[in-house]
Amino acid sequence: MSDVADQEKLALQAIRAFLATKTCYDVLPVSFKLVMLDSTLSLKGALLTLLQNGVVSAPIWDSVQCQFTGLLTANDFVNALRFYENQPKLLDELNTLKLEDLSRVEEEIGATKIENYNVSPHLSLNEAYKYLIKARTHRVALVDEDPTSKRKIVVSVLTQYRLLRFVALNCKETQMMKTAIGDLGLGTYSNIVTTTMDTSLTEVVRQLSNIGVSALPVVDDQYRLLNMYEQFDVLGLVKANGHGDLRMTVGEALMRRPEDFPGVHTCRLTDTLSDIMEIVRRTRLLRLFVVDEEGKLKGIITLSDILRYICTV
Amino acid sequence: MQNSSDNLIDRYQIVKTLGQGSFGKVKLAYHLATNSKVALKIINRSTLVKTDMQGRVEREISYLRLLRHRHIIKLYEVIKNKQEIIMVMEFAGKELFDHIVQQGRLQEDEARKYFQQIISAVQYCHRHKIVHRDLKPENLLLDEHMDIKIADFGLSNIMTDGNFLKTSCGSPNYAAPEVISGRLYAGPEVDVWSCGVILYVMLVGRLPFDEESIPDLFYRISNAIYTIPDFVSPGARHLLKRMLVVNPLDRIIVDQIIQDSWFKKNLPIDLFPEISNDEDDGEIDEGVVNYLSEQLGYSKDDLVKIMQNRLSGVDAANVEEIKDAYRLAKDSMNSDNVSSLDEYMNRKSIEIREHEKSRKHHGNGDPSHSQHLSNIAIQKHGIPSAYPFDSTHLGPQGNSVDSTISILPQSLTPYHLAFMQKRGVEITKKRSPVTAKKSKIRWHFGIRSRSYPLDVMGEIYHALKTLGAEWLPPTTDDIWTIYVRWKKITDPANGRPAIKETVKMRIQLYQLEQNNYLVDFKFDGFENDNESKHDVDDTFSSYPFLRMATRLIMELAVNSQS
Repeated sequence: MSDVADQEKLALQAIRAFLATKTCYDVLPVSFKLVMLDSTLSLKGALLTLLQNGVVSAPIWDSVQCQFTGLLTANDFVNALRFYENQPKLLDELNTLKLEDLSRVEEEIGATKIENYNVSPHLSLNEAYKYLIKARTHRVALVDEDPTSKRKIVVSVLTQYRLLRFVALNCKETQMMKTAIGDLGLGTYSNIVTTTMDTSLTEVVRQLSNIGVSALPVVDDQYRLLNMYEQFDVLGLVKANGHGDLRMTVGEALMRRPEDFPGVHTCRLTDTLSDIMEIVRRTRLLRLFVVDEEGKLKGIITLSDILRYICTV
Repeated sequence: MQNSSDNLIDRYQIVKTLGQGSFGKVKLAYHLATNSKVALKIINRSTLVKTDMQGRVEREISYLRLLRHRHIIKLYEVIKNKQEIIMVMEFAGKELFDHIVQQGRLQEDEARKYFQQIISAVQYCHRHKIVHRDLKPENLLLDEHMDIKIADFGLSNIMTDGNFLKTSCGSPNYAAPEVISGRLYAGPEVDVWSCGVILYVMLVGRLPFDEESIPDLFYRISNAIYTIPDFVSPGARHLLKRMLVVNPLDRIIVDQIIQDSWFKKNLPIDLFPEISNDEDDGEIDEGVVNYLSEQLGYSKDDLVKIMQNRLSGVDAANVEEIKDAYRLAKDSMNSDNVSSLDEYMNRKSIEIREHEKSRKHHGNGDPSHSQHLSNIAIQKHGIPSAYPFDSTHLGPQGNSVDSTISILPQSLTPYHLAFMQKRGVEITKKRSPVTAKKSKIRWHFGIRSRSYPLDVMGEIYHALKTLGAEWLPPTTDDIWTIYVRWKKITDPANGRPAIKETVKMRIQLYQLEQNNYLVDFKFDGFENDNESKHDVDDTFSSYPFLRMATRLIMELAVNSQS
């Protein structure tokens, strides 16, 4: 076995051992803000709250039943948009739809329902990532129970990014992971759904909802990567009053991004996890597009891929 | 002389605003005690990339104070307050590029003189692992002797933190191909490219890469498409061609530039002094150790251990950082390049530091005068971390030169807008605001009131009575605190049984300032049915308390309206 592969293996062992000794609580910052949405809020109001607070998801709380009912994400808005696209007569309802009615709408179009994954914050990180991988979700609510009243309380949300950043910040061993991602086979390299600058948003929203991915790469006619359109971009439509805007193209929609949009990260097959984790440490990274020397799209590496590799391979 | 307090920062009298730099306003000022001219660079803390980086930024700036080179703008001191970080710097009045514009282009001898000075400064910084990354006209100044002074060394490292591309999008004419293509690693090669562009501008009088449209400009830079006019001598042409090379690994390095025959002509002997290799002589300069411990907050023990290579018990991640700082400090303390303001600062800053120190440690009674390294690490990130990973004066550490992870330039909004415009789409103003986070929501804790305090207490008792809450009779020595107990039976809903709960709350009236009071609600635990009391620590759920507070606030609001 080569030296590099040995090092990689040692690093993985060390990281897993580290994760086994830590719980979800350890990932949480000392002080943080939690945005919770009452289930009687309108979808539109809730999404505006997400935007205003600069978060991409928030737990929903049913204050009659006193329980956590789900995590609202951009995906739910994508689903709602698709539902009303099929039912133009009901379109006005989009502005008044309540969070508690969301699952009904999602059921009707056969989309994935609103996520209500939750675990105890005392769960070890080892178990937590297994849960994330098994549930095929990007985030899980941390729900604790008050021992006196047996009431539930939402503590925070554990995301894949938070978990990976925790590893990046605390495990020096990530620097030992020097095997090229091409050799690891990390990521997806076939059947990648792409879109173009001239595709209409209607089409893109349909794809996002159908395939259940969080972003679509935007390529030109030579398959060179130009940009991406992500679920989070759809949230921007909330402000502009939804529907009519779906007729615009991806290119036009991307013009509405904030000026300080941090950009799309790309890498080559020769890059290593050590390099990727360094980026995770420094900045918010949700996925990497793998390109070749000419900038043509080869594949996508998501945080799920990285987590799965670190934790199970 | 009149000193309006508006124009006085610390011990500096502000004269006028010189301009708007990349990181904030720059003002001309006089140091009151020595009457020396200085430039104040005022960095608004809100413009710093991330709030959790503030601690690091401050430490990095302190590190920059150690830079001492005759062709680098000196950083005399750093004044910090809640809103701003003010860098007090050497003043140089003229921009090199105004001078070039006046002359059209420079004669080769004059250009070479400036170029030698620039390379000398760049080499000095690179040796101390500081990369400029943003060398451009605004940063090249001339002092009264027509000598070069480079500004903002090391700043791009701190301020943009890997997102360099975003800020350079405005004027990327000087940026290296690997920078505009979004490569996240930016080492010394990047400065070599920029120096090449600067040399070209001095010799030719125009930019080598100059296109109206950003995509075209990016194309020309990425492929190094430029022409050198015939009047440029073969020697200079050769050097330019070695500097403006697309592949950073093939590009000439600073030490090779110094050996170049065109470069060496008329080279002042003292510009590149021999580097004494005395760091390993084992003798530790106590003055340097004291200085570093006071300036950068390292523990003296760690410093001595590291310099003696006794690394047990020392955090390995800090070793290189501390060694660098030590060398730099020793260098700058031995430097004979001292002005009257320098001397003043050296005397004065000790007093100020003593002052800051006593303030910092007031309260915790800690006599050891420096924070331990691991403490600093925890303060740096919101997320608890076991060791301090990012020490940015080394550039993006850990990211190897061969990493090809990049930010796709086309995906950045300014680039995309230019791209769409080229395709005939008009740019509307309908874009999202720069950051959603900027529209901050103001949080108030408790209720503010301007009423007479006894009236406020009366209203609270009234509201509590309406809600059916109970309270302990007030004691004579504290009539501003109410201990409340509220029994509540929730309605059974959707098949769930009714829940009985007794929440306790402490209500207290504070005076914020004259005629301004705050009613504070504090959770005081639960009581359950069998009367056994529980500690607050036993319970997590804040909902019963929040519900009670909400009801109370609503009740108070109703009362105040009637």
